[in-house]
Amino acid sequence: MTQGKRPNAQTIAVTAVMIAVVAVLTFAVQIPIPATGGYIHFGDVGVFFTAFAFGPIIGLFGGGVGCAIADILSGYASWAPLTLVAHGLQGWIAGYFGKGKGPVGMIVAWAVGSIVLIAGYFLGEWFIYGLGYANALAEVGPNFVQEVVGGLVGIPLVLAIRRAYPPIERISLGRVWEEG
Amino acid sequence: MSFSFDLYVQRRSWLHAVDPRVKLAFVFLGTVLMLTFKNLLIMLLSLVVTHLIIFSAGVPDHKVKWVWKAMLPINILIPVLWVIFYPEGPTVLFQFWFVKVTALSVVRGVSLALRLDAIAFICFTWLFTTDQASLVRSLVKLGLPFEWGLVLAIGLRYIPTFYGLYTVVSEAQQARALDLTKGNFFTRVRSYLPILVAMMISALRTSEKLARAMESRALGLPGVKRTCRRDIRFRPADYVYTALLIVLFSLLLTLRFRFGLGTHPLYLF
Amino acid sequence: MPSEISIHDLHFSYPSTPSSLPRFRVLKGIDLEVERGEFISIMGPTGVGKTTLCLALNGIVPRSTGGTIKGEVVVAGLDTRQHPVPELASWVGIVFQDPESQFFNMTVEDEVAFGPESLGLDPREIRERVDWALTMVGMSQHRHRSPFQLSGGEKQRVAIASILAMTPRILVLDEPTSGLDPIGKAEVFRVVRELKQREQMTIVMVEQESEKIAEFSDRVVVLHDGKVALVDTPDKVFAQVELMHEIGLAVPQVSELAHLFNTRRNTRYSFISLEGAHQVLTRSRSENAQHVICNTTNESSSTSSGHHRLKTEPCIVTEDLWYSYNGEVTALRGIDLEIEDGDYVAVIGQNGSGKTTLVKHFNGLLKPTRGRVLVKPATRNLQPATLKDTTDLTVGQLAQTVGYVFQNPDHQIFCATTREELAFGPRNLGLPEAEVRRRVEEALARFDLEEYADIPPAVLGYGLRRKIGVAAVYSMRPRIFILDEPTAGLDWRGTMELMELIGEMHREGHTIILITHDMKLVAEFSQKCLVLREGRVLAYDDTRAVFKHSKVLRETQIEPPQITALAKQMAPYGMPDDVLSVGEFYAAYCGRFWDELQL
Repeated sequence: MTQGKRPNAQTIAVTAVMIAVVAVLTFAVQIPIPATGGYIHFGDVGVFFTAFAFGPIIGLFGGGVGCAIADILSGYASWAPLTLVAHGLQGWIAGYFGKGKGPVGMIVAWAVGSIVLIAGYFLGEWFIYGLGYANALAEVGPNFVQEVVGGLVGIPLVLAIRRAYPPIERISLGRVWEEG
Repeated sequence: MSFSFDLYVQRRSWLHAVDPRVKLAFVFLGTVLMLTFKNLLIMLLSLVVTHLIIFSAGVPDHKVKWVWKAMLPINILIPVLWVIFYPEGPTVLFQFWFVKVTALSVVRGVSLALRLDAIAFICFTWLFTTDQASLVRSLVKLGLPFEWGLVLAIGLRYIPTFYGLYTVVSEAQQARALDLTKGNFFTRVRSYLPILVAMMISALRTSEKLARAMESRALGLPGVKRTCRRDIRFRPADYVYTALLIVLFSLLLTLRFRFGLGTHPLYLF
Repeated sequence: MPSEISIHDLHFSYPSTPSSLPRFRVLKGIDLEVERGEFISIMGPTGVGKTTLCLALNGIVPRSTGGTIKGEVVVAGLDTRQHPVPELASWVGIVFQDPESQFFNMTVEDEVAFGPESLGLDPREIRERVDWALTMVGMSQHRHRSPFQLSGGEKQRVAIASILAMTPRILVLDEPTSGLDPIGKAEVFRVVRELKQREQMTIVMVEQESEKIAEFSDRVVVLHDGKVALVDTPDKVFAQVELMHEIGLAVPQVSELAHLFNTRRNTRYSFISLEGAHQVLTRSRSENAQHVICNTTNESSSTSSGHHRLKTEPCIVTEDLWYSYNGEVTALRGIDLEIEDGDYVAVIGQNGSGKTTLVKHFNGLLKPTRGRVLVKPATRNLQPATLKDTTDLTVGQLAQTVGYVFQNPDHQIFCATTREELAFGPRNLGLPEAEVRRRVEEALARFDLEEYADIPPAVLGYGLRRKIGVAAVYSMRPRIFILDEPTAGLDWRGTMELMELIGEMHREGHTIILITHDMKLVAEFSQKCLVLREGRVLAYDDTRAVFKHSKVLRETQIEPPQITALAKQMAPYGMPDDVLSVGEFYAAYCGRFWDELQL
């Protein structure tokens, strides 16, 4: 998909579009959780979709940059560096294991990606932000719900789009042309 | 929740004129520095300084209020949890069942929360006063490959577009009697799929068209080095700011690690 | 002198997805020579490969799309198979159809500078080129704005400037105005006219607006079934009305008129412009003016009075309706309106006049900021329905009453098969599965979609997606149909077929609310016309009455259909000033003075 080290126009376009989509799904979609009065968003749905459809590199950028931008635009700028790393790794790992896979492969990749994300936030908050295990632990619950939604919607989303828009397979492939 | 697509506040202030690379260095060094301190007074002082910087650049009140509003929940949550789980020091303010509220842990909890606020405002000195184009250009100047800079620029550029797309698609599906409020939590979450599928397909079509448009503007012309119409350059003042930044950073870092500045929550040394 | 563009026996198929399907052959042997400095227009039915042909001119086909190519394309002396796209881009510039997805910079200026920067030009020269290009399209004063804040017409002008800044020898415009409102279209065509007159550029324009093609082109290329069916000067091409209609394409209304005269009255007229038609049809006729004028006034008043129908119950009522987005932008400013059961209302006005905002209130997608909207909801057991406030009705009840076909079909299409797509709405209404299936089959038959029932709709061509979008709302059987620009991007045949289907639904008793920029459709199909400007009702009357009062249209900068304008210009010669179609014009003209003039 990339020639040498420089990404081509297709890669640039698809990565940029996924960054914007992930950011929008994170800050614009707010679904109330009835029991707690909190909200969930679809950011992780976007990250898993990006990773499973386009692989680790685009997953890394789409997930990390997309979610970090959403943090900044929502006013949580201090979380943005951690988000960049945690969601970036999540997208990278999920893409590494899950790109082009069937439901089972995607579930495995989802599990790994979710663990990376939850652990990333937990460790980052505990050690880098120095908030202690209690505060770091308090985030695990909401993050877990977020990841469950990410898989529950993200995996069917990939499957649905593969059926509804088969050319998606072509986007992440190199273009070959022939004379005939 | 409130959000805006572009945080930039258009003004002609001293801070707007500062080279974005200097501001980025301030954000980076400032964040690193803040993470080494644990002292309440230092946190308060940095908040005062960042607020002065932001207001002197002509950023309106409501932008600052908006940041505080977003940070409010963690400003409550962090001290509360800290106080519950990390009692510390001899002074017990009061005891409630198994929770022992100590003075020192209150101070520490509050400074931890304020530290996050300070980091946020350090970031916003940069984001409020730098337009997205110079922001991306400065990253490219600092060594980010042009193509990835372009990715970031297009990503930022298309956020309002896709926000609009999401809104239209969800209206379009609701016009087909899609009910997003029915059923338990999991059914409800999955009822968004028709919106997400249509939105993603549209986004993918956009990416194809975008790629064609970029190639049609000669992106990636082999054997040619891109030029830049408008270059960002250091002005004399930027050298002064940079020097100041380096001196201040080294000074504070030395004080921190040689003399233990700001390691105690209450006392400076 | 060698040709600027030389295409020889060009065949092309896109790579197939999924790979089990046969490859989609688009171009099947195109031959075309274009001279330097020529203005060529390309016409062709939807899906014939017009865009593919444009993309072949700068090598995007086949290099970036993939696929199989045969034959030869030489532009400005370069064989497209030998040179990468970015290199060809400096010789052949393409302006794309969609104004939204060809921008990737933060400001107008950056956008225009992008091409020259890619070419590695000296910064000083880049600045000069940016200034020149922005001046050419009249956008200099907007140079620091974000492309996102521009109107459709402004965006397309910036897109043209960003191509001009690379100083290509060939400019390709792929339906540059198809998504624009009348003001936007006029802006873009003004720039194109300027370019044609002032620059010695070779221009290739794909366009559906035959009137504009007639005005600009040196030659017209008509594509049909992957081949070139006709290449000739506009007057020769548009004289072949029957052939054009058979291919599925429109000709200017005056050409249709000429054809009507020629076949019925054995004349040898050939009109491609309003002025031309006017000149011929009024030749030696001025002396009769006085006599005929009095005649007309009587006549036309009788035609419009024949339009009155029995007043029926209203099915949508708005009372002092105000709406503002985020409490900031006020889109509707006090709309009082009654739409009667079984009406056919066209809603017209420029973009931003509040058309879409208004109709979104009819099915409850938006709730008024002030005032109220009443709708007569559908009832299952044929109980007499009463008007209800939309705030008291659920999404389901409203969707069942008021069907809303969105402007872009891609905003609604998401299923793996067309059949599922059509079943989505009825299923949401909670209908029993047997009924859902019955409705889906009926809709497939009615919209002639059986062939595509098991194919993912998203991979079909735009025309079919458009139709599926309408069918998916039709299958919900709403009493009221709102269609937001249903014919945008469709060719003449697609437009006529869709309008026929809409007409059929209207005759079956459905209320139709049609938003469109195409005044020919408004004139020919709607009974009533609602003109909006800046969130207010400028006029709401019988369509004939609205078109008669040219003041209203002029105020909104909407051009009436060519034939209406022609009749109006000929009013001093005794033509009625409220002609809505070619047929009416012909009848009026012949009835008026054919016989006496033949003597």
